[in-house]
Amino acid sequence: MERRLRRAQNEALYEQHSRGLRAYACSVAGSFAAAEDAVHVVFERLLHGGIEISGPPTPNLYRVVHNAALNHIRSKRREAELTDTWLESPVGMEQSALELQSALAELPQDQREVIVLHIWAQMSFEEVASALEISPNTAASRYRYGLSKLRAQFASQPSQRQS
Amino acid sequence: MNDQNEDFDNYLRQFRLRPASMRVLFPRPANRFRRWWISGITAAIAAAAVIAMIETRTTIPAVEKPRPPAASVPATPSVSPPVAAPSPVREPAPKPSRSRAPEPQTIVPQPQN
Repeated sequence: MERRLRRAQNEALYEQHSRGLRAYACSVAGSFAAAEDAVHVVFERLLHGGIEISGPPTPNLYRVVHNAALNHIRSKRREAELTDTWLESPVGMEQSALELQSALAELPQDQREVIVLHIWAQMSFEEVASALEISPNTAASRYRYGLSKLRAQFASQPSQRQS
Repeated sequence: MNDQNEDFDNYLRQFRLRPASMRVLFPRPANRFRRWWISGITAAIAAAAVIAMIETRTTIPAVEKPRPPAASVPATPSVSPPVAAPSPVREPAPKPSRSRAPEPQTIVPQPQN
């Protein structure tokens, strides 16, 4: 009975947060495969009682995924050097997607994660703030600074300079 | 947010996060139903195979090993053919060790007076 309840709770958490968690893990690990692995490992451990989330689930879940993504990078450092694309681009913009990922990797972690969660996980600043345990104003300002830097980084990429 | 950042924000939204792969943590009800359906069919096939095997085992002895008809079996135990009495030619004198001692008396002719 308890197991079924736990499963239902975790399924609801997964339904609600899996997209945001994958995006967040991508911003940490820089690799789609690593991000998926991290999210998968966390939910498997949650299902089998390997970890318990106490307190508000959202920020704790993001923290656990953050740690899992870091552990994944450490354990597979060699593979992590070959980053895979975690952004899907419109037709003809594949190169831009790669350059965008490269520019994102140059940003500070706290700005990168806010940008990724706000744009690609489609979370509001309030949701981002709740997940990362920061204030909505901090989330919005990190986003603004990060976006300006990203635009500058992206403009300096080879194909963007040509066009 | 200034206009340049807003334009750039719109530009970034053209890109999408890659969809999740097919790894399934929580199977959908349709998947569960399909799994039960497949295991039910498998169990039925296995049961049919076992029943067929049992039936084959029970019928094979009747077909392959028919019992001999009862009439051919003699009512009394067959007497083994009597040991041929030793012919006088071959055995003129019975050996003392044999138990069938009286037989030579009937065979050997007695001299008449």
